[in-house]
Amino acid sequence: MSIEIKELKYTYSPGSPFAHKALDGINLSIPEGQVTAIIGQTGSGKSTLVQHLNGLLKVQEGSIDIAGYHLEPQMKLKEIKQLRKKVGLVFQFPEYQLFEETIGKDIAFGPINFGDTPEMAMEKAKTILPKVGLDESLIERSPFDLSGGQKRRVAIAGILVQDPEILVLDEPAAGLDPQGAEEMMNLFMSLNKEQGKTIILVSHDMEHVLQYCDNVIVLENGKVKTFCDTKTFFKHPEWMKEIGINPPGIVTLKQKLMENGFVIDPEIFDEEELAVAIESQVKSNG
Amino acid sequence: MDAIEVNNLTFSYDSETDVLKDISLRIPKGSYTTIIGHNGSGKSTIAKVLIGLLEPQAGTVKILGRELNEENLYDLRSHIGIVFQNPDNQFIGSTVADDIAFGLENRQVPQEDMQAIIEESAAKVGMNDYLNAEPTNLSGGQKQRVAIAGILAVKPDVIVFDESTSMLDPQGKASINKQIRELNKNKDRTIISITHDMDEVAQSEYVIVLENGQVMMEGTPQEIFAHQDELEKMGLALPFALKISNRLKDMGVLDHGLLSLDEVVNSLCQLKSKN
Amino acid sequence: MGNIALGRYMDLNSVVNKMDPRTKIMVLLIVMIAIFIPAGFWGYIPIAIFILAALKLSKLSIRFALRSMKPMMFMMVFLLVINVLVMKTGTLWFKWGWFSIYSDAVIQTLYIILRLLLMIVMTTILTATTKPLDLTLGLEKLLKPFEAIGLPAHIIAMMISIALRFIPTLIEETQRIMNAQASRGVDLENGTLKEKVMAVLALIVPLFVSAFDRADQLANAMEARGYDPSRPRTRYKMLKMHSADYMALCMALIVLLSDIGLWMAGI
Repeated sequence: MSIEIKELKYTYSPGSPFAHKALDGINLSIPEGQVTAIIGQTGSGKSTLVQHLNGLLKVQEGSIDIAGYHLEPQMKLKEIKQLRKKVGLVFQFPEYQLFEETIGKDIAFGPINFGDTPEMAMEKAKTILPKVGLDESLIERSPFDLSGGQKRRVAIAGILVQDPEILVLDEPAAGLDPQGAEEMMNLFMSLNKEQGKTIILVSHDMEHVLQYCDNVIVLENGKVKTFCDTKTFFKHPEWMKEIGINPPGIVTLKQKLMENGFVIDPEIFDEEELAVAIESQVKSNG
Repeated sequence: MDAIEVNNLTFSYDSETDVLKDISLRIPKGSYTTIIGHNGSGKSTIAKVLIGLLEPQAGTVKILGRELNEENLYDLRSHIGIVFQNPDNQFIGSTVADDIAFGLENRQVPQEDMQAIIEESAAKVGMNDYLNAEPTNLSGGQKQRVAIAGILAVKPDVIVFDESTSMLDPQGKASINKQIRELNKNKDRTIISITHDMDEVAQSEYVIVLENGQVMMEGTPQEIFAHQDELEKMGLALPFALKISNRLKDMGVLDHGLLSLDEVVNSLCQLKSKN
Repeated sequence: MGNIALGRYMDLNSVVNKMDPRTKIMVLLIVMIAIFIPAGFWGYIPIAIFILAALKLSKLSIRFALRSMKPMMFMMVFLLVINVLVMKTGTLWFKWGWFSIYSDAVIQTLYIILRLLLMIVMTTILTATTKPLDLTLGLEKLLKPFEAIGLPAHIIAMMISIALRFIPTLIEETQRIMNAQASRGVDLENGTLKEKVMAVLALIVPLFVSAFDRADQLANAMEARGYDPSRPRTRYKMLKMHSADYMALCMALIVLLSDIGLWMAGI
């Protein structure tokens, strides 16, 4: 079941002098089982939109259908907890949400809140650790003894352990070194490929968007500016320029070569294929 | 004379495991040097030792030829400034002007001189229209530019950037990277940038690679990037321009790897028109 | 947080905004003393006139000032209840079974409420017309003479101004952590006591961890920029008293003296 967002509007501190319109009529149908990127400049409404998806922000105007729930204004959703279980939201720098004495207890915190017994929750915590690339033996250690990257893995494990259908990630790789970032992204991709989880990724990193995502949503001033599949999006470097984002290296190179008279298949987004195409162009002219 | 000279430096936080192990290095005056290495390689620790926030267990640090010690720490700090990673946690004043003034106040600059210095420094980073702005109303990139202005105000010879762009959005990142190059344009300031951004590394003049608290490699970006396998083992990726030009070199299209996309495009265009 | 009037700076560009913070702090102190002089009901007249004039000059509405009383409402009602139950002097106004209301209880409470009201409005004027940093600077300058007896005025001022600087940052952080924990099923409204305790822990612990982290980084940044509490510093912001400042001080003193006069005359 896809996520259906209709005419969603949101204003912060409405009616006060500080009122600020963050979302201005969002219409989206985000497909199930795919990886969808949300991009846009700071203040474009990304985090406001994302916080609607698990009910952290209540719908003011419009509606959302997600994970079997229908969200609309003035409704008292008793099952909001269940919604939050089904839609896992990983915030930016999630390592700042750790608080328990042991890693195991911290990961088990969510499941216990969602109704598991402590024993069941701890059992789940044990099985989730290897999935985020941490050793099971760490379970009794304090999360505060870990390195920054490992802390983040524990925090992410704390969301994954709820086994959400939909996983919303806000800049999950920010601040990690390139290797750490890649490992992190691979973890999410495997959840998508192997377990069919729907993933929504808020990111500034166009290399990640190109490499991992199926669709791209561009937000600007609280409106959907573009919504298309990733390849279509990256065939239009000018769209990225308009929102002040540098295209990935391969897109820039392709564009520059095309401007200089090279004929390159717009479908190429792979380094190896591009190299072959360039080779044929440079040599065939002889 | 080198801007920084480090000899046999050893540092540990808990006196058990050494974070920096007998490091020696020199950073030429007026250069734009980048320090790379994955998280936990000792990069940020070395920055803190250089500005005297951490005291090494062994070895010496010389700044512009003077050895850093307890007595001259205060004096030497007017020669070296640092911009940290988190834009919020280094914004001390309640407005942009107050924050730039902070360093001047500490240096006992006479009050009547401050306004001119503040305006001049703010102008250098393009923040002169924001002198009365409060930090909550500024973007991360703007806050980092204010941090730079605060350091420029005391006219240091060396500026260290400790992953200063890693928490910024792409616009902020681009603007700070441009600012860093601008600061080094006249070669009258030494820039040391600790970074993960390989495109920034490609634009620097000198690169130091740290791994497990030791200097693994040092040299020009060309020299460093020639060791592709070692870098990849350390989890450091090559800039895209270099990756693709290396591939084209292997295919016999290009003669050698190139560091910027413009160079790649230029070389390919020449080849194309020749044929 | 949008509705709290107490302590919020309003950039209204009034005469009072431009006054020296030292003046405003001293005027506040003088008026506070006047409020506490037991000059009877008439004693409040000059004070009220002074405060109304100050409100007018600050371009603040009476409604804004009264809104700052909101958080005190509960306390006032509580006070009234206690006084009615405890104080059994004066004339009897009302009796129903064991329950009785005497005049003194009500009058005393009204006096206290009036004092509180005047003090809060006065403080609101100060904070609404003075930027926190100017306030700190004024405080530092006023405390300067006490440095001779070992009071570290500039360190206190630095601590206050940094605390003020980080309030918005920490509020933002709190919101973020609350959201993050809510996404892990924390429910602050429902749930058993044990669950609520856990919920509060899940908020407080990360908040402290990150606050200490920030403090550590801030200390590094300050030290790297040459801050050394043991060394003298120059100051960028200078304070200067103008004729309006002297006028305000004179008026406040007149209020105080007239109250003292009323008090003496009453005896």
